[in-house]
Amino acid sequence: MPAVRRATAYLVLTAAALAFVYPFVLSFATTFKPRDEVATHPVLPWPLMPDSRAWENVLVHSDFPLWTLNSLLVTIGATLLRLFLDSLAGYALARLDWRGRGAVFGLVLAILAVPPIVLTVPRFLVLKEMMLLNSYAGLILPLAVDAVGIFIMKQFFEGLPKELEEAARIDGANIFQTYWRVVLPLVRPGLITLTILSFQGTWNEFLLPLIVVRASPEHWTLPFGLSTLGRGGAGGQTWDYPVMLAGSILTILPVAVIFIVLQRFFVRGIASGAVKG
Amino acid sequence: MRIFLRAKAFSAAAVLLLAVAGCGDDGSGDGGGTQTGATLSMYAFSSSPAEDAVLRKVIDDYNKLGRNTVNLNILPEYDTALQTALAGGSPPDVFYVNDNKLPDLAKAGTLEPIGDKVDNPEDFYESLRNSFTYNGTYYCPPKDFSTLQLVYNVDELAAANVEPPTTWDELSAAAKALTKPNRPGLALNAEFYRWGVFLAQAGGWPTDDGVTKMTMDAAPVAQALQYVTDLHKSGYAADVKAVGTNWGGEALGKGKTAMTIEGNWIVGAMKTDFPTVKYGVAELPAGPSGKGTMAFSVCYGVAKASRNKAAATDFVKFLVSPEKQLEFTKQFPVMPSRKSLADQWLADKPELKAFVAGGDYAKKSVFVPGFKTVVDTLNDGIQGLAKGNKPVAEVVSSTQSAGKDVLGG
Amino acid sequence: MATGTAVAAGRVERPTAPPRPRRRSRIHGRQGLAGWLFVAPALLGLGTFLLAPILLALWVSFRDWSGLAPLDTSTAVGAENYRDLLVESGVVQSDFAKSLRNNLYYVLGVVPAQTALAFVLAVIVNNKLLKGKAFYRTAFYFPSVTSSIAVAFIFIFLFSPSGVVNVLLSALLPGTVETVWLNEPTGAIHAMLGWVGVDSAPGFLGDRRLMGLSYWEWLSGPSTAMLSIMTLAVWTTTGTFMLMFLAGLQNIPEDVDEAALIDGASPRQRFFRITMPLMRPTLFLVLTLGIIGTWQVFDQIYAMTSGGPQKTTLTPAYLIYREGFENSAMGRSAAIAFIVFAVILVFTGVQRWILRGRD
Repeated sequence: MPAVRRATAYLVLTAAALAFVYPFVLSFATTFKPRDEVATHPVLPWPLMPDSRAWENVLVHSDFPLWTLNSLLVTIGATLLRLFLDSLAGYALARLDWRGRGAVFGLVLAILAVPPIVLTVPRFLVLKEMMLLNSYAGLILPLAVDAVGIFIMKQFFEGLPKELEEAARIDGANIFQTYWRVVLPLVRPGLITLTILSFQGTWNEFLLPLIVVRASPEHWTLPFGLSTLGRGGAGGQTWDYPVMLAGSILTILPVAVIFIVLQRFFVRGIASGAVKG
Repeated sequence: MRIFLRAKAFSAAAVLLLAVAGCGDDGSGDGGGTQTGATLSMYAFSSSPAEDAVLRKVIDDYNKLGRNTVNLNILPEYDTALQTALAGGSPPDVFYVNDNKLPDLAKAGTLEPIGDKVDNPEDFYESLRNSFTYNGTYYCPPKDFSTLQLVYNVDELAAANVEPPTTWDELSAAAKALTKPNRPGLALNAEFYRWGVFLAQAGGWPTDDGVTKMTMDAAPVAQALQYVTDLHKSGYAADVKAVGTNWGGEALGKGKTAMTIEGNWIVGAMKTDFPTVKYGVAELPAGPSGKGTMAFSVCYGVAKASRNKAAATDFVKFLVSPEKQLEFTKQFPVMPSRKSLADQWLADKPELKAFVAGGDYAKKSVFVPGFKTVVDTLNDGIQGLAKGNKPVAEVVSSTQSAGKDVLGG
Repeated sequence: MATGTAVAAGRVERPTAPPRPRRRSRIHGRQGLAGWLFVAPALLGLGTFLLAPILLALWVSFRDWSGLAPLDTSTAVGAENYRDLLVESGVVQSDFAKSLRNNLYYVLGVVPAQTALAFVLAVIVNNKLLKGKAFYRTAFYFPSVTSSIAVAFIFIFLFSPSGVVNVLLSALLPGTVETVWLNEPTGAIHAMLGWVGVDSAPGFLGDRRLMGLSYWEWLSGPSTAMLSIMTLAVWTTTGTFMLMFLAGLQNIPEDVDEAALIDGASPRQRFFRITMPLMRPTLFLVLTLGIIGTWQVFDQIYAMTSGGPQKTTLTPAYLIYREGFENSAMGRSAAIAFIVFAVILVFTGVQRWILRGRD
């Protein structure tokens, strides 16, 4: 590729990347601005008079450590469960031949098609009946399986050539061994995607803590706890943007870290040579 | 196999629930007498960190008295949280009730009427008591209130040699004198909860006092709407969104306007976000029918399903006692709901006299359950009026018919 | 190697020689059991925590529950909620019609945009020759990680009259651009027709009504405010779908590509003959999730516009919230949800049929 074309391509790409990232730079800068500066100079990507009040409020004067621990517990638990259960189900839907397969997949899609907001109160009623309120189980179990994850894994399993499983089966492996030893390692990009999205989804969950643990502050997760800071007044007139943005940055940070760490593994994809004659 | 497991879980839960329901009383047999030793739960929403701190302190004071113990939960997404708790049948004993939610809650039978059980119920402003009365029952005592008045930039008015207007004509003249290129003299949110003050000043209102009939088609309503629309058309007034802000306080603070119509909460916002802007508060100009404004309030509701109603009532009495009310409101812009406290509250903030004065003639901004659709339609129409792409007659008729759908009249 | 060539020729789906019948029934039987066992824990979870609430909500949609008191205080009203929304003329019906119209434009705009952009970005970021892949991947994914508050704040500073968008447009176009994006209710199609002189409903379009709105109103196009939200939506969701496309691209075995290279295929041929067909499952995933997600858009409306200006950003999901939590009409709220459910099924079905026909 001629040098000029390559340079232009990189320029465009970098400009696009910066456009995607700049708003966060601004949010970060805003967390260090005093409130009146936010009102008068909202667009400047650096604070004129840096003030650490927002970060103090969030990190020191709140239950931040407790919320983080709770979130880690819930998110890691739910993500691991999802990884295991979603891929099992996805594989069954993609590759195994059993009666009712189509119906179950239809059910999975149908579940996705119901707008989640309408389920707020019904879910609460169900969880109440099951005595899962105000507990960690009530936060983790409902998140242990999700329809999107099953859908994702099914599609990735379907993208694999069937020869591999046939070969393993002929070699004498039973179904689970085939799944665990041969197929699963091949969908590593799919598993990584599922991990990232599951971590993100369960970490950012807000409605579930609201209905399950709102009355027990010792169970509060980070996004929920942070939403109690900085807001006030009717209709947003007295929103404390630096505090709220500090909270949202803290919420974003772990997910971003997970992404940065895991996306390396995208490079090492399918083992070439797995398809042998 | 999974169906079997699920059935087991449900039946186990059902057995447990039945057992729990069997013992314990439902708390409805309390006559007089104070119940003691109860643990109460309370839901509230956050007003500001400082006000939250005062609330916690007052609750501490109550707990120290040793009669009962109160656990407070200050929650985000308050409406959703409260509703979920109510739907589940185990609501908090005491909770904040926004005035515009009172009809829905009362109609659904969720509130225990305790309005008359507090000390000196006549001491509360009548307009506020009306806000929390539904079908003749006065449900809960208001904790504080805000009214809308005219908030203006002192320096701007002085520079233009304009006094705060006291009539509609003076308002038009003032807005005109204060208008600069790209800077309307008056800016307000294009919604019923601001424009409504003009309806009140003209002697009109979307419904009659009992909220049984729509009265949008009465002449004063069209007159008021036309007056404000004309101000917008001439460029002397504008929607706050049209000048790139979200609400009146922001417009005033950022210098996008010289006057706005807002409530007490603007005081806190100006102090933190726009400390350099000098502002003043004046009573809204009187219209053809006199002065008019709207009041917004919150009360302490006691759940009908609560098992500790007597204890909860005792707690609420404590909260609305004059000393505690003053403690709640002294340093903050919200006003005490007891008339007797008005002077003490104003003692160190005389400049906010106009807000307090509104308490005497404010109209309640409360309707009936399911009326939100109608208010939305009216807001939709007002946005059109402010933008200039809807005629007043159309707004009146669409709101009138939407209201008829809900009121059944 | 022989298998590799077979794969490269695009005949991935065809299996090798079928096993003998007796063996197949044994495998079949084992697969049948294994299938159910594998899926059982997931079904248990979905059934308890998702299906049960859904069925409860469905039942509620046939009642007039206020949501403020336990369920036993509600009464059965048959299909009245659905009638009010779909058939009975009145403000409930016209609000619902507006929400459907607004959401339809949202879906038609956002799904193609986010799918195309995500795919392009994934291909770029997957390119072996790209330096700094990690940086670009992270940068493009970042908006997807964000929360509604940050997005609302960003939106305000981007689209305010003195914000970045207007500054850019002013630099590019003659004169200064000071549009207040969030406050413009004129629909895009109406605006464009206005440029060619069509300012109001021509004849029959203004007279015929469907669900309370005239045909002219149905054809309004997304309002400027809605377009701003759509832009923001594409910005936030592209990263997630880019991730899925990336995983799909990575799934393609390397030697498939190499075999094609050896066979002399050009990059273009390789892309269209090998990559695209193998990406079909991922494309189906992205499109389906896109359709589902766009028909359920709620967070942005709730955080930024509450359905305004003039009800042009009202969506069914926001109506569900408004009716359920602000209007104490939970029954109607549930009915809206299941009408949207039906709409989503239709759209997904159509999409699936279109994709399948490409065999």
